[in-house]
Amino acid sequence: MTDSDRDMAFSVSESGEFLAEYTAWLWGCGATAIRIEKNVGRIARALGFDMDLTLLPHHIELGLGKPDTGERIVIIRKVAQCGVSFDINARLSRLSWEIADGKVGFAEAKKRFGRIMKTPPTGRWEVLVLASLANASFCRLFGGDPIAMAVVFIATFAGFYLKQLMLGSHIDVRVAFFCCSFFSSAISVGAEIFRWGETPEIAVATSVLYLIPGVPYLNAASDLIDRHYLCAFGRFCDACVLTAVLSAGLASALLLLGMDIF
Amino acid sequence: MLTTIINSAVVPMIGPADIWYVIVGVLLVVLLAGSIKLAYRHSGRVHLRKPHFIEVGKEQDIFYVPGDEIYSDNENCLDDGF
Repeated sequence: MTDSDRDMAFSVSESGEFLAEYTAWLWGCGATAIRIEKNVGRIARALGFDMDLTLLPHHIELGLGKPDTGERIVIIRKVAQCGVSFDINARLSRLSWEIADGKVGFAEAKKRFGRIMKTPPTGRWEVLVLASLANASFCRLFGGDPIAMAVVFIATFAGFYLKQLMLGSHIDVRVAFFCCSFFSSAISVGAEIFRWGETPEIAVATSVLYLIPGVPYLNAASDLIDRHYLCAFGRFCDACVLTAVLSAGLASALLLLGMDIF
Repeated sequence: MLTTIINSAVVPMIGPADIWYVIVGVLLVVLLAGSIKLAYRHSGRVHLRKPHFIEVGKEQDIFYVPGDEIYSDNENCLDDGF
């Protein structure tokens, strides 16, 4: 029996706790349902267990059983509120492969998982600048001139910073989206009011693109294809609510500033 | 005559530009306040207890006599039950 095998002589409850926490984090960081199923199933098989998984919009229900002894455990866990993170997603997936390939034992896997949970988020200033540059690039893609790009950069910078502050103060995400889209579009409408550049309307249209919840929409489509209809509908509804809220912010700014777009 | 008075009165017309200035001004104030709050949270003074004007405290904090047994936060105290 190798060290790794000796490592695997552990209880159903201990493994279940680990797998439930793993699943909750994978769900929370924005993985699709099929990825969660495959990763968790891979780990469970490597550890010698049978696994059944129920994915709900805010919870996961994991059933883990040992075929030889008949032991079975069912654990319900709330989805981790860690925000979409492709970094954590990739690390967790890599961990599942390392466990499946026998490169790490259970104890080491738990330690690595603990370290992954403590992964620091990307620096706020890097995200702020890069998101603003990305949105300015979108403006360019849609035919905006350099002045419109500058306006969109400033509008996105201000709006994204406001979003960071509001979410950091635990203000409801829908309120934050409304405020951010309102202020970002209000700033960009300045291009229309003061006649900055040749394409002010493109600046107005692209100033709120950074708020579009792209990952939930994509994940919803992926879950729909894999027949996880409940998860797909939950993610789609979340995305629709955020889209509606940011549209309301945009429309409010346009109406308040007298822009006759509608 | 009333119409003449009204027409000749200096009634400032609030245009889109004025509203824009107000919105941007409000945003700058909010961002500044948020930045100050963030800087305060990350400063060394964050470990100090935030003052509360109204607070429900433990009984022993008010009626403590040297020699009384001190209960830890994890233990169930009668005045903690809601």
